[in-house]
Amino acid sequence: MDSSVILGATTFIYLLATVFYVAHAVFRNSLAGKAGFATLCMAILANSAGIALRWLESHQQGIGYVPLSNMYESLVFFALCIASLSIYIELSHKLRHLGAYIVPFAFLAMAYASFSAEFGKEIRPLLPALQSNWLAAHVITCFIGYASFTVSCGMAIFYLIKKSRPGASTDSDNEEPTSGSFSILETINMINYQMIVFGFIWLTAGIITGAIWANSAWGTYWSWDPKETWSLITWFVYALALHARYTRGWDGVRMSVVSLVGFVSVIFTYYGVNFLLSGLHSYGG
Amino acid sequence: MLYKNNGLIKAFSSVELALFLISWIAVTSIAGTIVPQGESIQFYAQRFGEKLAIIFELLNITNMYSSYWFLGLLLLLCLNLIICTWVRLPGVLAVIRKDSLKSPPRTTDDNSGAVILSSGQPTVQVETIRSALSSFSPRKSEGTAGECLFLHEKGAWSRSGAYLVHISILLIVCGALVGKYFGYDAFVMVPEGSAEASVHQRGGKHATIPLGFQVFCRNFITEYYDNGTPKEYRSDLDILDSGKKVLSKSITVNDPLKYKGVTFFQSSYQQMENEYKLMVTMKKISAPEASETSETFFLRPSTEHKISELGTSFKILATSSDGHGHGPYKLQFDDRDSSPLVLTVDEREVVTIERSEAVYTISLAQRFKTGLKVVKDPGVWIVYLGCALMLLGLYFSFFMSHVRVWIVCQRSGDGTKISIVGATNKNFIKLEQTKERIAASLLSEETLALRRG
Repeated sequence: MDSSVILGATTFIYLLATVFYVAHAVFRNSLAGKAGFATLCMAILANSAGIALRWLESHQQGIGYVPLSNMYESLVFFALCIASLSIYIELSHKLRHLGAYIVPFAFLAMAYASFSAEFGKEIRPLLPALQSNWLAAHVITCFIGYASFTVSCGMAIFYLIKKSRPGASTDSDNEEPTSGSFSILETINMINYQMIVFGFIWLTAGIITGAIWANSAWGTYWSWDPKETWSLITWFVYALALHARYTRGWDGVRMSVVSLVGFVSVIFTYYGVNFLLSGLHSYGG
Repeated sequence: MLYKNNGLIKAFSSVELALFLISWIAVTSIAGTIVPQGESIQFYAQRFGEKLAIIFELLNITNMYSSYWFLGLLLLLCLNLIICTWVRLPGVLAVIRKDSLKSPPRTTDDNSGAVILSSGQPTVQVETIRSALSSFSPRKSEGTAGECLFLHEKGAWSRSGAYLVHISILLIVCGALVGKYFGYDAFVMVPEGSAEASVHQRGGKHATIPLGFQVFCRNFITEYYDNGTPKEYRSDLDILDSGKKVLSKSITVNDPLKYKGVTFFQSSYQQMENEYKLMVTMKKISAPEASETSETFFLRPSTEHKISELGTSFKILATSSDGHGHGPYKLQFDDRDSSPLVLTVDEREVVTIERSEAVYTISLAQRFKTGLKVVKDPGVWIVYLGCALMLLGLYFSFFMSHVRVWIVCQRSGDGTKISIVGATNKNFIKLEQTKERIAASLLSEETLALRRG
């Protein structure tokens, strides 16, 4: 079997998981929730297998490389990171219906990877600039960060929907499963913040590995290239969020809005720079 | 600390200013990603119209990351960080150094968060409590008669996390400044078979910087994958110091050469018009010992090139059949024993010529100049140190917390009461867990005969 077949199939497994999770969230059907969890686990397995197989295939073609070198491969890894975080959050907070706001992102990333005509999907040998061990370190750190910010965006959407629904502040929340003594809104808020923190640390590591790599390939660790600048803008947005939280107590709705703004910045850093601007970092396309 | 009440100092130490500056830097940075940087005014006029081009020039948006207003914003942020750290760090250090044993929480207060254990025994066996708590490495202070106090403290240093991050940003900026003022960013084109002793600074200065040694390019090679995309750009370089070869290395895009604080990066290459590189290996047949000599020569078309060491001569008669100059070449070969030979060879094709005295292996190729980026950056290690400190600071800030748990033993009526009281700066869940674990290990010590409540 071909890795692209497995990864194509993974898209549909993510779709199925999304349907189950949304069904669980809408109809409060516990069976749908369990099915969603099982499907998501399967999708993660298939996703990982696809990446591993692609790695193997690249070696069989005599150009072995870690499959994280272009837009397609990074999207595939992005989906895997989002799905893994979703499983982690579900297990640690014992809240199943959060998946309805996270898994769709994994599906979208994977679907975009599989169906977009903007970039090639075939295994291509690495250009000289990409032939470095920093490639894997840089891409992995960045995408764990991006995935965390994506989850935080999902939580922000959930929070805002819940908050805007009439009667959200009444005791009707009590019937919902909560973790510990926290209300569901507090839990979403907490996960949103945790994901911002987690993502911020990984984004920092991603920018640093990128700088070290740039210095060993081009002789400058920072050249204000659009990709670098946008990653810094994203870093600033989340730094702002963290400072506003500590010093002005930003929380809840405000934090959710910041989370959405941050996500827009993430998407622009990831996608917008590659396809809308030109610069050194033009491998994604 | 009179200065700290100064209005200006207060303004500069405020987080509000930091939020304001960070927002402005983030928002203005966008401009430089949309407007290409460092182009000519004609370029902007053509692309954005004349009016916008003039506005760009006036506001320095065409080179915005080195413009005074942008550097000014960065400078203000640095000042903000310095003053904020200067004003607040002493207080934080005081909290870190504070001996919490000397300031226990008052247990007489209605401390709703306290875990209370009690025992019917009137005397507290201090050593038993200590051994029950041994896994929490408690510190003990003697209280008044029949009372004692233990303290479990962890992660006090984590309070410094945010300041470590701030200091790391300043370190990175320092490193960048050191690089800017004590280093250079230069460029040099080195033709194959020749050496350069100075490099050309980039940016506005265009100064020539002597290296103090020579960089010699033996060979430049571009390799391609089967599908035609480039696989490797490689320059075989020698460093000549005082005329002696001291270092030899093949550099590729991700693998530069370093010598005396100067780093050479493979950056670009150029074909040299009408110049060719000939590699000849001569293997003598008749000699008693089979000797082999390899040499590389550079020649121009239509000029006879005599090689006295080999006793041969070469002349390129034609460089291509279609005029693009990359083969098939017509190469005239001559040596002492036979009449001249005309060979047709492709670019880089390896051809063997057998003569009565020797066998020659030759290959002819385009001559290149390799483009080297030459960087001297003594500040880079300061920048890396800053990066490491930043990650450490973030780890301290977000994954560690300062947890203090006091275990207070008091006489209460006929028995003993143990209150477990805690404080933390952020992770309250962890604090509760720690208190519960301490309670559990005290309860499991049977000789104490403790119970909850």
